[in-house]
Amino acid sequence: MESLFLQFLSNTGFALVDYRQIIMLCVGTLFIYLGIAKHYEPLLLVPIGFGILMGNIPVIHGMGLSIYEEGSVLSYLYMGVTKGIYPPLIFMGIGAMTDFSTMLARPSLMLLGAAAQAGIFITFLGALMLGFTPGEAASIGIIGGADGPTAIFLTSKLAPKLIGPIAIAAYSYMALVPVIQPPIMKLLTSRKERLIKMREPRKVSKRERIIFPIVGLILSCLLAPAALPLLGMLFLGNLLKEATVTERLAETARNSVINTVTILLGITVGASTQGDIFLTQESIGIFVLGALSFAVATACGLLFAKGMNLFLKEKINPLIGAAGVSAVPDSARVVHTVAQQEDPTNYLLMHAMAPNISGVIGSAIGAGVLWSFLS
Amino acid sequence: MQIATLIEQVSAQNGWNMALAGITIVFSCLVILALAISRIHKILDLLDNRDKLRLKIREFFMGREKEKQVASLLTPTLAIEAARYKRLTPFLGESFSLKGLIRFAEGRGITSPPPEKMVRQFLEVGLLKKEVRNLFTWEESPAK
Repeated sequence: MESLFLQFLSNTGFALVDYRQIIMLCVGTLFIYLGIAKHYEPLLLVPIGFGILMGNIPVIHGMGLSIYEEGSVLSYLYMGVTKGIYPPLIFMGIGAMTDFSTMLARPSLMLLGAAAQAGIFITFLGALMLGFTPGEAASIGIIGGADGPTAIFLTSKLAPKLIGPIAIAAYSYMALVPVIQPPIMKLLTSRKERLIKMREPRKVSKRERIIFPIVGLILSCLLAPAALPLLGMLFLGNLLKEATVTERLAETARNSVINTVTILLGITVGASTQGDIFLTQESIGIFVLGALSFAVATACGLLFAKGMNLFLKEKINPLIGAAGVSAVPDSARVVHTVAQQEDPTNYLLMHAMAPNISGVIGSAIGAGVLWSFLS
Repeated sequence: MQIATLIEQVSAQNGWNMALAGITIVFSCLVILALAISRIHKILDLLDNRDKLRLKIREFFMGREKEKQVASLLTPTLAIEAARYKRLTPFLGESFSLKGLIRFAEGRGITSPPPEKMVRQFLEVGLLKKEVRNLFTWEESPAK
């Protein structure tokens, strides 16, 4: 009986724990705290934080408990990440939630979403310089798209072993949009520019909104076929929403499907960050480059908006360029908040949604292009 | 590490070309998409007003034919006759029926050439245009 007790004690987490797992348990707790107490993307940070806790509870290898062990429950759930299943489902939900009207009303603002994607490719070069392989560099660069599902999708295709750190970096920076973007916005714009008011966008007809997902899918996927899994689902979700006759399906896509997938994605991505695998120099490099990518993407959007103003008769508020990164709708909200700090009567949310949504399309195309180059 | 080495590292992986091609493709895709969606509402407007469009196209092509036809039919004699009949119409009002015009002409002693024949000719060359129901009015410049 004594030996049984000793054996049990030696199998407990207390006996097996490693300092790296303790660090990760703290990180997980911090994520949960940030999500619940600070409201930083709680829908993402809470499941991810909890996943980090689950993934870093020390377990005996061979018992089929760890996410990296074949046959474990978590490993089956993780297949949705490694096989690239969850990201397209999330995109369908995003499509079913998003109103593309502002973008349809003023398509020229889509250029801001395109400009912000420069961050992806600049970081790709930076990662190559630091010695990452092209596949890894592309996966790191896509963090600048500020689009978690896209980052996971591309990483699952090009650098599966980096899914954990890249997903954590991508979602962390998405959650930290209100912290990272405002200083860059204020640095690159003058007060006068931040005060620019934009006219109301024209009203977009229902037929236009129905036609857009069809035209969008055909055009964007004919030009960049590798973006099909993500954009196909995004536009499908949007068509379900706009068609109105498929309201039940749209309702499911924007609620049940996206919520279920977000929980599974959060838990499995969190659980994949086991201390011994996650806490490496490589991960630190990914975090640094990810932050750089995000900052460069924001700056590119802002500078492009300022550039556009040189040619436009009716000036646009350059702050909306920062919404070109595809953290929907957080970066649009941040743009609105920064503009309101200067002038409480300036409502930029609607205008910022246009580059924000085109950023989603742009980052998916960027991911598709990189995948086709490197696969 | 020297900058030259870093640049070489990127070149060795074909990084410059991939980055340049990548951003160009993303940009082009979004520009094309923007151009396409900026046309959607205009195409829809056009489709909504397709009857008007069809009419305009027909007028554009047929109008010229008609102009030529009218020019050849509108002889000086016919123009003089038309002026004669125009002088009668103030008594009939701005819009008038053809029957009323013929009767009025006959009542005023215009019998040669027969008013019926003349009115038919005015209609053929477009000097008379239909307004509502059976009411007609003079076309001021049929060959314009």
